Amino acid sequence: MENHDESADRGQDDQGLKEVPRLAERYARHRTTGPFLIVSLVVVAMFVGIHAVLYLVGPYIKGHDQAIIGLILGGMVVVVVAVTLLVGGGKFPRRWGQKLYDRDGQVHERPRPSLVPRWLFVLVAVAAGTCLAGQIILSRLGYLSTRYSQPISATYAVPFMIILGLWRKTPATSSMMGLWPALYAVHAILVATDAPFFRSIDGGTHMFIATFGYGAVIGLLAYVDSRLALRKLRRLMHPKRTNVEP
Amino acid sequence: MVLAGVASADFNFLLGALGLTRGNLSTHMDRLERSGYVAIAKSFNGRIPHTSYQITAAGQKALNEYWAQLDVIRNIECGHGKRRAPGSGTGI
Repeated sequence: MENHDESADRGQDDQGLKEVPRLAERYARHRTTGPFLIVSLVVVAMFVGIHAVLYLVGPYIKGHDQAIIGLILGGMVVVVVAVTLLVGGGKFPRRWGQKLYDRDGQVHERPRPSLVPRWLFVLVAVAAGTCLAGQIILSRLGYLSTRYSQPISATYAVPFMIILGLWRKTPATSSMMGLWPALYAVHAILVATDAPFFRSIDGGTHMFIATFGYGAVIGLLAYVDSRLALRKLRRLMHPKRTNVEP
Repeated sequence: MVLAGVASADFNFLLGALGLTRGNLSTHMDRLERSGYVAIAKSFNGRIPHTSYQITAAGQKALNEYWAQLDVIRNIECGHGKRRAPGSGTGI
């Protein structure tokens, strides 16, 4: 007859096994960020690379060395165009996103019903697109400050990101992407209130951080979470048998 | 259980998740398919065969019944455990 402790242990094992479907779902959902993560990392690397090059050629620009300036700028244009074509085509991020998970095999997330109607998503998307175009035009004309371009964009970008997350017609993005509007909004508040570190950064960099920067961070978090979920799932499915069977 | 959380999973994923041998997994999945609990889809990725599995409605129902029965057994055992060792100090 088994004692109370052994039956309690078996109960805990059963409860642990109940987590298996949830862990599988969590893994499948977060692995969808693979291609997005690749694109974000490539764009961040390009941004950092361009700024590094501009920093290095600074003395030549000041010295008006046109040959060097032309060469470096020409090289940068070639790199940017090449990367854009490579990444924009979609095949590269999909292939490299898949490579992150190739060894695991393939698994597909269950599609979930949209939480908002399609017409609302379309309406918000059109409004956000219009606001974006308006902001660019007004900034060019000098009516809007470029310094506060990120907080201004947050007024339409954050609602759009929230509605996009709620609409999610296909399982194209991890639920962790819901963090993005939150980070975008917090960043906007810090810029708008001239928070100490944030006031020393230019408007364009703020926009970049809030879009691709946070996107890359969330993509990485989702990737790490997917690995943790898979690891826990595997541990539950092949437990180490240390107890001696009667 | 793994298939209950996802739309579908392929053979390689289940192999890694479950820690079974290829033959063992294949046999289990064939039996589950014959019982109507799992649907199998075979295709090719280029020239490489690819097998994908999906839990059926009957399979999901059977799994839910399994958990319900385990809960009943666990509750019975917990009741017996309390009666058997009232002074154990590890009461649930």
